Amino acid sequence: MFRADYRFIWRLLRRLGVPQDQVDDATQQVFLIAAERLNDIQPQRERSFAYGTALRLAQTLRRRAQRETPSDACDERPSGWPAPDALTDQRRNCELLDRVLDQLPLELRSVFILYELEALSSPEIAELAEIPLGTVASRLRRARARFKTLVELETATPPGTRGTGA
Amino acid sequence: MTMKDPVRLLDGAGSAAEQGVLRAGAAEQPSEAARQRLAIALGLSSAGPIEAPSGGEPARTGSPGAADALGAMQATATLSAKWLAVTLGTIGIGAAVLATQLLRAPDGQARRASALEYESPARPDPAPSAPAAALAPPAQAPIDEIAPPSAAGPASPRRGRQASLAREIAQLDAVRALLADGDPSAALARLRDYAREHTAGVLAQEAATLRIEALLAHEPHTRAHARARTEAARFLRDNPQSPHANRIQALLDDAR
Repeated sequence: MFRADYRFIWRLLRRLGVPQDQVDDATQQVFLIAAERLNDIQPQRERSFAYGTALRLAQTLRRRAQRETPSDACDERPSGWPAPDALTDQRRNCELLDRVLDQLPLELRSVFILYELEALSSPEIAELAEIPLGTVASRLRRARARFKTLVELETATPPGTRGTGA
Repeated sequence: MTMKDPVRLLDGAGSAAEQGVLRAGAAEQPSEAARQRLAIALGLSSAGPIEAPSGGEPARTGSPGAADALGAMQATATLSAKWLAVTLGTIGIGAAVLATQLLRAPDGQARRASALEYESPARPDPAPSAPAAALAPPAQAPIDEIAPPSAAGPASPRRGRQASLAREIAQLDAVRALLADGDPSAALARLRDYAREHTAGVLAQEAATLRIEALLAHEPHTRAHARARTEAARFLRDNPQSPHANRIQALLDDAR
């Protein structure tokens, strides 16, 4: 548990579209802000605070990255990945995941990430994001539907013609 | 009526392609080095294990010593401080000390809002943080007169860190905002203020990195660029293991 929140925030930022080479710094910023605002954070609400901060930071960094030269988000091999021989499929899937998630609106993307990747329950998501349980269910339903459609489109389209409308 | 959660895609509800994509994402994890870098950024550690405040056994997450120290901290730190300490794992002891120090810092410093361009979702703050643009940038000084902050790491006694870490964080946040707004001259001026105020700041290496970035943001073939290369070379020579080394090298590579 003691490392859970650090990993959680790092993975959340990564999947919210923060460029790969900025995730470590972004995670650092979240915790530096938390350290600075300790006086104001309600006890037992620390994770919610960090989650909200990460959400806003990710939006800022993504907007900034979109203004700059786009870079391949999966260029650097993340920690825990296998040897290069087995890397190709995982890298391809990682890139695909980035592309698909980038097409989800933030409110759907965040719920989808929390449920499907972080394995939080709907009540946990509702408490963390401070939204009603029904809203969580609705967003998850819509996110999953779009995710399925986008993955199907991505995997059905030949690599050379993606994004060209062909 | 209780709503039942649907089966997760990775647990069988997804197609093979969907599961493969999600599995790739789930495989990504932060590195231990990244967590240590955060410890360094908070001024709590060098490359090695963190020492407990009393200078005794190094803190080990889950060890009896760590638990005892955390218990002692509870008397003075809030539950939120404990969360921060526990969350950061092996640097928990140091972070709890940091959190306690922040709580004890003068109100004006401990409660200074972040100058980043977004708002944190804490309780409504009636005094929103002053945007970086509202800071009147001082007149630009010649580049040569701007002394870089010491990048040798925090050499000042604990007393200096206690009093000023929160202020350092806010100042460097303001610098980042100015760089993001495309105002490297104002960023350099703020870094000059930082260097004057914190002769051996906890975040000195962070400040040195930002200074190099600000210098490189000037036009190529200027004295600023030349100064950036000089300072970057010195930083990399003096701090080869610094977590900022990769960032500085990347800045240099991009500026070529």
